[in-house]
Amino acid sequence: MAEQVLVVKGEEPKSKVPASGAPSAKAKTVPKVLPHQALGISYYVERLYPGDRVRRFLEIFAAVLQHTNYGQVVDTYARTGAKCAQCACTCQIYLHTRDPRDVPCYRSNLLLEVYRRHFTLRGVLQSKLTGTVHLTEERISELAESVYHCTGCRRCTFECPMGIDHGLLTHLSRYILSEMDIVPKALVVATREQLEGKTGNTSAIPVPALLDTLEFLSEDIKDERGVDIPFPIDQEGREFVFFPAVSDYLLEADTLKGIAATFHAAGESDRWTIGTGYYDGINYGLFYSDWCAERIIQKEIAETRRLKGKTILIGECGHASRSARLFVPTFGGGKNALPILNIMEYTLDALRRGKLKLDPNIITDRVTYHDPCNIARTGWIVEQPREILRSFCKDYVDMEPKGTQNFCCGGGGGTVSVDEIRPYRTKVTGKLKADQIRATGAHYVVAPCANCKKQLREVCEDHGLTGVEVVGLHDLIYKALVL
Amino acid sequence: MESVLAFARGPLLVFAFVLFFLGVLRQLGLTGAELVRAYCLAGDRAVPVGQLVRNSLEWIIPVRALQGSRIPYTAASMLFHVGALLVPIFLSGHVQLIQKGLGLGWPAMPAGLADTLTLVTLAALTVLFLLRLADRSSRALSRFQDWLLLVLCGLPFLSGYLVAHPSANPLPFSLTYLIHLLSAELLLILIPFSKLAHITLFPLTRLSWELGWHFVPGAGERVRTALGKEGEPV
Repeated sequence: MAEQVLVVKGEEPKSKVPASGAPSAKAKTVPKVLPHQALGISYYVERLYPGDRVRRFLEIFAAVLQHTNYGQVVDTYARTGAKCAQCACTCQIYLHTRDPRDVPCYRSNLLLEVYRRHFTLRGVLQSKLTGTVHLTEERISELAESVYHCTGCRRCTFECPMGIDHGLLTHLSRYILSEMDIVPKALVVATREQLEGKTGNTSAIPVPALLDTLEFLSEDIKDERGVDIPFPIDQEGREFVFFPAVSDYLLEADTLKGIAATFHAAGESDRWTIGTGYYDGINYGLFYSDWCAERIIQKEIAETRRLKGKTILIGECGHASRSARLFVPTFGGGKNALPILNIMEYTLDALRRGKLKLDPNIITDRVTYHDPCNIARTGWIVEQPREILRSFCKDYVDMEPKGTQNFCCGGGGGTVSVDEIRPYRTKVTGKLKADQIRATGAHYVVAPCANCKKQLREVCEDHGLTGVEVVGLHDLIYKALVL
Repeated sequence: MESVLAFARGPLLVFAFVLFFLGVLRQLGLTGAELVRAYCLAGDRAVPVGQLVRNSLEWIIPVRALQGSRIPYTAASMLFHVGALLVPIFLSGHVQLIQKGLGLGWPAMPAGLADTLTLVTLAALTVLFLLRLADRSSRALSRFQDWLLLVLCGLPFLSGYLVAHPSANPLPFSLTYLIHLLSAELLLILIPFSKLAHITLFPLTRLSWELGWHFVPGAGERVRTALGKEGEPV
């Protein structure tokens, strides 16, 4: 999400200061070569590392191997990878392009080969003896392009007999590249605003604007449903502190109204609150930087503690849920860390306790459910939303494949925020998704994830699926809830 | 020829076994140490051991994989592994040799079963070779060692079968026997140094994967410090 990144005016020049050091006299002569053109990659980057990029890459890789836990897994993978190409038959990109460069194992090998040649005794000896140079500018560019072709959906992990997690290697490659500033501008700009900007969130929504929005949403509910449902703000001691993808406040009014209405209908409006200190669940660190991931998650933990909350409640967002579940225990105290709950888990619980009444005669059009990779791939949230949907949708159908095996929306791994690669996202990575949706014949595609929603709307638009409406789970609940 | 054979069955065999054991021990030791280090550094030490074991077992008995989309490849691979594991260890000739040499013994498999398994293994290897050649993606991925190892894995089985069935053997007995010994010794030596390392590392790969996602608190900052990027903005 954060597709609508509102860049604070003062932000641009600051980011350009170091950049001016990069292109030397050459860049001053026309025509001007932009950093991404110089690298030969399809997404915008802010600047180029001015020195020897090959050397820098190796320095970063060495530092990462020294200080993190990636060393052991890279080493194991480099030793055991069998090159059987079993992963090819699960990768939705390869299934569409049939290009060997899109086989997950090929992509992973770009990094593993650097490891073999430069960080193992045998590789170093081999290079010395044969005098060959492995890592070159071209290979860095190839890796840079390749790892942002991958959506990090991790569907391939099901097929690798050796247990190689290509998603992990994609993440690591992106992390290394990000330390030399090769990372989509869209992701950096949003993260910069979140960590160092005035508003402290990826969509640059200041607190007054947030409060206005929430007031407006409440008025909307009053108009549409005739009920007063205020959004709880900065309430201390509530059980849940709520973090949606912050872009929902700009783009997904119905989802938020649905969530507020759910708490209200369950008679549990006093269990949750939104904090004005920090209200963004997005964590692009999961996509490209461990350094950012840790700093972002600390903000979530700090806000929950400030409000004396007991549980971090994540809205309808796949990567926000996974990053919280992964990083809160990692960076927030292991066993003693705050528990994480996804809003759909709460809603199902309320439904099972008989607190929610959903009118089965409201949603009569066909409904299908898209599984966001980050919550479904490990089997965490697969059946919960289906149970909710089946309880009130007259005509619910599943996609094929579904659940843990479902295809990615095509915009995973943060690529959905990169607008300049939209044709690639919708026509290549999103192709099988479009076919899947078409085959269901559904009117509503429920996608409880801000990233998936944006991507699927673009997929439907670019594939002429005009009769399809992409919605969140709570959008439908909002319509059907008896208040 | 006789002296070469004697050398291959004597000192060379011992050398190959010693190198194999040392190589495997070194590899397991280093990987184990790395895993322990990763576990100690991890911010979150909750490791779902049961799930990892289940996941590994599912691949040892790949029932689920046989419902996948490359069934011939998976089936051939599975059959190959059955033969490759059982025949060298339970062939009666091998069992007798080991008993004579080391005084250790275990039951041997019937000769008929060994013959069948050997032929199945060879057939499976041929299928694996052809499928690797026929599939565009695996052909593009394959390195020299991926082709070489397929051939090398077949040699001891083929030569072993011919040794056991002299009537079917067009080559001189001693030459076949030499090929059998040398190829098997080469394979043993290559195990720790090639992708055959998965023979010993396989049980650890899932744990390694899991710990890879268990990040180290403060590591991001330390990486930046090491790179001279302290205090730099995003």
